[in-house]
Amino acid sequence: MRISPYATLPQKVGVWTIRLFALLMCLYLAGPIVVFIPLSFSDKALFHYPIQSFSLRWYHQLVTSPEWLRAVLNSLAVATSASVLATILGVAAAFGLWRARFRGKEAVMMVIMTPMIVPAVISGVSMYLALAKVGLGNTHLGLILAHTALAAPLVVITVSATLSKFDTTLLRAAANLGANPLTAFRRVCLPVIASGVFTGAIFAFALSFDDVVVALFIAGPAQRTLPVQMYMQANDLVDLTITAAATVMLVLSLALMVGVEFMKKREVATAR
Amino acid sequence: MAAPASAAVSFGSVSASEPHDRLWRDLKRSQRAAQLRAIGLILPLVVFLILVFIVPIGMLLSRSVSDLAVPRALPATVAALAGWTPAKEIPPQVYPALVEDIGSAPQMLFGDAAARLETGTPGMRALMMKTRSRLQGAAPSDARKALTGISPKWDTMEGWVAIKQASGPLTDHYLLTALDLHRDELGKVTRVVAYERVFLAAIGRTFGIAFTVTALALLLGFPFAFLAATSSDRVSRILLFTVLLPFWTAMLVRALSWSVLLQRTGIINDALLRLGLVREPLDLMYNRFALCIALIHIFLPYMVLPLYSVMKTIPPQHMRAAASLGARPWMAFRRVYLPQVVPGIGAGALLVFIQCLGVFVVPALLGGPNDQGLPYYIAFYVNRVLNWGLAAALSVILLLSVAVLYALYVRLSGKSAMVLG
Repeated sequence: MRISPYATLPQKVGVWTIRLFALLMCLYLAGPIVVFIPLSFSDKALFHYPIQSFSLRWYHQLVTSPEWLRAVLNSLAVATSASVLATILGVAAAFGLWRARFRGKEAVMMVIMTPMIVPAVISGVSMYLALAKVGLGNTHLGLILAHTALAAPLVVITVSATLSKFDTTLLRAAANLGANPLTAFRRVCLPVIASGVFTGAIFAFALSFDDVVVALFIAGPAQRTLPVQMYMQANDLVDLTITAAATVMLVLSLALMVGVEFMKKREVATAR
Repeated sequence: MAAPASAAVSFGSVSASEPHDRLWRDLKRSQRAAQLRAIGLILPLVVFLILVFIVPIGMLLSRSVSDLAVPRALPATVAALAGWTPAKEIPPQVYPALVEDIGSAPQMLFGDAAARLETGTPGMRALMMKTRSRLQGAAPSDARKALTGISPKWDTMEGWVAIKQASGPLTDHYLLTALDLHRDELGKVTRVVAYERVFLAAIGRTFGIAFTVTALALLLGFPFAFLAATSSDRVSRILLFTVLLPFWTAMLVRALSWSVLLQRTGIINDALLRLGLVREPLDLMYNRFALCIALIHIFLPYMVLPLYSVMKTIPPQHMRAAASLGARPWMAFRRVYLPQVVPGIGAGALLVFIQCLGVFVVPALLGGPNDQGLPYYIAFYVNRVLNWGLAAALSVILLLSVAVLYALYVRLSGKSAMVLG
C-alpha cells in the first residue's frame, strides 16, 4: 500500500498502522514454524535458547534409533503407496466424471467428497472398527487403504480443475486420427493435465505424511508413522529427536509446496 | 471393457442408399459406449470409498442406536421381561430365566452385557458379576430365593428395570446420554443428576472455541487479505507466502512449535525471565489461551485465502466511484466493498468453523482438561472406556453439526469441495 504524496497525517498514520499490522502478522504466521529448527541442531537436550554448542546428534538419533527409523520408513512407504493408489483411482474417476453425463452425478460427487468432510477422529475410529473386522487391523495394508480413501478426493478435485480447461475436441481429433480411447487419453489428454495429476499426487502424499489422527487409531506399534511417533513423544522434554523430525517434515512440506507452485506455473504456461 | 465400435469406422460403412437413421443409430451407440466407459472409470473409486470409508462410518454410527449386548447374553431374561412394565409386579418367571442365562452365557458375552448395564445403571456390573460368581453354574430349585439371597437388590425394581431398558435391539440410551439425558425407572426422559452432566458442556465448549477462533481469524484475516489483494505484486507475494507456509506445514508440526514456544522452559518464558519481566516462568500452556492462539495460527490460511480470492476480483474503481459520489471512506467500505466480500467471509468463516469442530491433535497437545471438545470425548470413549455406543452417539452429534455447516458452505460458495482459492 503506497502513501500518496497528498496524504494527510491521519492517512499516513493509518497506512503505517496497516504496515505494522502486516509485519506482526507475518511474524505470527511464519515465526512459530521456524523456532524449532535451530533447536534441532543443539547439543543440549533442552528447549532453550541461546544454543551453546551445535551438533547433529538429534538427526543421528532420527536415522539410527530403531523406533524413529522405523517411523520414518513407515511414513515414506505408506505415503508413497497411498499417493500412487489415490492418484490412479482419482485420475480415472475425474476423467470419467468429466466425460459422463448421467443423472445422479451430484450424488456420486458427494460420495467421493465425504472423506474430506468427516472429522478425522470419526474417520479414524470407524476405519479402525471396520479394518479390525476384516482382519486388516494393525497392518500396513489397512493404513494404506485408509490414507488412500482420505487422499483420493483431493486428486479428483485437482485433476477435475485441470480437466475443466481441457478442450474436448482434442480427444475427438485423436479418435478421428485413429487413436483408440486409451491411446487418446495417454498421448493427448494426459500430457495436458499432467500438472493437475502431479499436484493431486503431491497433495495425497502430503496428506498421508501429515496425518496423525487416523494413523493413531489404525496403526499398531509396527505401523507407527513419523507423525504418530512425534505425537507419542511430544511431552518428552529430554529427547529432542522430535525437533529434528519436525525440521525434516517442514523441509519436506516446503519441497512439496514448491512442487505444487511449479505445477501451477507450468499450467499457466501451457494454457497460454 | 468391451472395445466399442469407433464412430469413425461406422461412419465409413454408411452407403449412399441407406437412410440417415443408420448414421444416427451408430452415433447413439458410440455415445452410449463412451458413456459406459466413463462410468466404468468412476466406479472403482466409488466402490472403493463405499467399502473402505462409507460403510465403516455407517457401522460406527449404527452403534449409537444398536443395543445387542444384553439380548445376546441374557435371551431368556429379556423374553421373560417382554410384557413387563415397571408399574407391575416383577414377574416370577424372570428369576429362573436369569439363573438359566447366567449359567449358559459365555464369559465374554456376559462381560459385554454387564458393561452395557453399567452404562445405564451404575453398580450393575458389580451386581451381575457377584451374582454369576456366587451361582457358580448351580441351578437352585428356588431361583428367586437364591438370587435375592445373593443380593437383596434382585428383590427391588432397579436391576430388572436396567435389564429391561437394555433389552434392545434398538435403543436411544446412548444418544440421550450424549445430551445429558436418561430414562428414569418409568421410562420418562429426564436430565441426569448435575454432577453427571458432561456432554452438553462439551458440545457447548466445542462450539464456543470454534466460534472464538473463527471470529478472531476473521478479525486478523480480513485486513491481511485486503492488504495482500491491494498491495504491489512483490508485497502481495510475500504476504501470500507467509500464509501458505503454515498451510503446508503439518498441523502436528505447528502444534509442536507452539508447545516449544509456550512451555514453562520454552522460548517465551526464557525471554521473559532474561528480560526480568517475570520472576517465575508463566503457565502459558494447557489453557484456553494457548489453544486459541495456536488454532488461529493453524486455521488462518483457510480464512485468508477465500477472502483474498474474492477481494482480488473487486476492481478498485468501485471504491473510487463511491468516493467521487461523495461517500466517506467508511460509508464506501460498508455499502460498496463489504457486500461484495460477504461470500468470501462466509466461505472462510465456515471453513475455519468446520475444521475447529473436528480438531483433535491441537487441544490434546496444548489444551487443558477444560479445553477438550467432542473429538477428545469420542477418542476417550473408544480408547479408555470402550463404550462404543457413546462414542458413536457423540460422533452422530459432531457429524451432524459438520454436515449442516458444510451444506451451508456448498450453498454459499457454490463449490462442492472444501478447496481453497
